[in-house]
Amino acid sequence: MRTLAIRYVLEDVPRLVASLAGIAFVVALVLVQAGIYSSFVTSTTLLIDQSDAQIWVGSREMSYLEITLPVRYDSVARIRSIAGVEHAEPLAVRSAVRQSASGVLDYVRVIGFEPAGSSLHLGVPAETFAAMRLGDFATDATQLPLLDAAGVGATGNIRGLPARVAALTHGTQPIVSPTFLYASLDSAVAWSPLSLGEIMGGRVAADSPVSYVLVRLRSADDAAAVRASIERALPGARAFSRDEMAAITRAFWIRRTNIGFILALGAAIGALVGAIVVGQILYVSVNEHVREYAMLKAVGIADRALYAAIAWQAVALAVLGYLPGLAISAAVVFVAGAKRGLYITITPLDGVLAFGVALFICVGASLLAMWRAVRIDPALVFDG
Amino acid sequence: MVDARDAAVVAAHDLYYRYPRAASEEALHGASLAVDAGEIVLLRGHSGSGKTTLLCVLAGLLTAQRGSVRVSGVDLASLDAGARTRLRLDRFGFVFQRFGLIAALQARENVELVLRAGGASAREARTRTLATLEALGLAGKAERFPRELSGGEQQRVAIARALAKRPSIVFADEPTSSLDSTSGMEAARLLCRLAREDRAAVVIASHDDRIVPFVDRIVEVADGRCG
Ligand SMILES: Nc1ncnc2c1ncn2[C@@H]1O[C@H](COP(=O)(O)OP(=O)(O)OP(=O)(O)O)[C@@H](O)[C@H]1O
Ligand SMILES: [Mg+2]
Repeated sequence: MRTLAIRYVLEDVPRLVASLAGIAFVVALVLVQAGIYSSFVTSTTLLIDQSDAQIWVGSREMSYLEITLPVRYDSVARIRSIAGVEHAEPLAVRSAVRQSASGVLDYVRVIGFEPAGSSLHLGVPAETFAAMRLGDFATDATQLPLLDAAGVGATGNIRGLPARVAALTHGTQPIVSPTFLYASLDSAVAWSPLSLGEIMGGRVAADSPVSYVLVRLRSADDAAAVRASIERALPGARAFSRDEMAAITRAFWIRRTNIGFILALGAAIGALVGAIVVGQILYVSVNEHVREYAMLKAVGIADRALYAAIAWQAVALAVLGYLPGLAISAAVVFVAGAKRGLYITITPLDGVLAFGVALFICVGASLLAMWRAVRIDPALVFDG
Repeated sequence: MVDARDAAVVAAHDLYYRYPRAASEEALHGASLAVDAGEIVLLRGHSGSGKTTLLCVLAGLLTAQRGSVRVSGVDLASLDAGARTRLRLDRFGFVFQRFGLIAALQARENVELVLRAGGASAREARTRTLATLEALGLAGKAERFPRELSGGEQQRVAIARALAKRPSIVFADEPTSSLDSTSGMEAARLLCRLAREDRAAVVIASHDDRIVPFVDRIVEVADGRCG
């Protein structure tokens, strides 16, 4: 019966191509959606992942990386004095509007930090950061078009102050966030002053609001004790572990954008269309072989074996459609990365998932054909 | 006393059958028939007399509203649908007017499919298939697809499919009427000869009188009854 199933699948080439196209489309859709989902989710915490600080001290009310209440700049010094802390540094996340040399505006997130000895690792050599002056920033290479910047050296301004591209990073930009500009804390304060001291003095002050204090520990074993000491020393602050920080940020974006639901909905609609295509094709195939199915039933082939023959056709379609589906996804991933700066990563697990979906769709869609086959009257084969 | 009908390989008694959507006429109207092992019977009658219906009821493809069919003493009514299907696979061979071959399969594969479904190993199915095709004069044509065979050859493949499993009974419905007279006679002659060698009973429904010389007994069917 397996031979028969394969022959039925192969006998009508245009029909085969149509069904494979349907399946390949679904496979590619599922793979790309899954890839976008994981790339999106991964991208939301890139900044956190790229830091080797074990503790992020921030406001208790922190909503996610980019939305939190400030802690004072002078808490950095207090944290440095806590036993077990090896390094502590401020990180300010502020908003601004940058205008390019030719006048194009972009809403940006300024990530202000102190590059010397920083636990943030953006893949830019320390010297480059050390050489950056007030008004210089690094940004992800994919953001250049948004910033209307040709490359390193492109000028612009924020609030009339220079804002120049001084270095490029790669793979650091969350997909949905405003453009991240990595700059010195002084630049961040100058571009986007928040306190009276900052407005008057134009530079960092003891009461400057910063978003986080990043802490590197002498020994990871002390994490719990150090976190407790920090929270005692700074009422209103909370010491998040890096994993907590990442989990909160991820959860925020997943909830906020509903991306899982949206992508799953897209994939589900694609899967439904695929199932209809495959179901229709298998059904028509049974209809075309009514006399042959009737003969098989008349000579004593059990319904079970007919189901199996149809299921084998479905499996063959799933396998044959899966491979071009992989190829299409690879092409989409390549084009998205090369032409759009959207880095989609498809994991082997996604591959397995997509194959499972293809198999499920094909076998599910074959139920209609099975229902048809089982209702064929074996006596038909006696008709002259 | 042994019931004579229990000795028969298939015995039908007083069958009544009316098609579900038929207006009034009963297709079978008190038909009775007993066929012994190895016996070759020709059901002869006008078009519409009920020959095909009788074959279907004997083979358990249709269930009579009244009357009984026993196969080697077992009442078909006592078997569930699955068991009747299995009985057809194990014990019955079928030859149809329009051959009933699967176009996508080679001659050999058409025969093997049924043997494999019956539980034969691939090798066993292959050996038996080739031997049967050879006996039917198709030795060199086993790998051909039905469309590459003449009508007579296709019918001989169908006969091979019916006989390769060594059935107790072969049911043949108008086996010659899609063929010209020479190939039709050849097919009928081979069917009867090989069945006789295997001691398989054969029930042929046909109004082709040229089959008469090959059969043991002729049963006239008229108005759903056997004469
Ligand atoms: N599927 C069906 N539905 C309703 N009536 C049917 C059906 N098949 C056959 N009949 C009727 O049952 C009667 C017997 O038909 P059957 O096919 O058994 O005759 P037959 O002897 O085989 O005829 P032929 O020599 O033309 O093949 C006829 O009156 C026919 O019209
Ligand atoms: Mg008939």
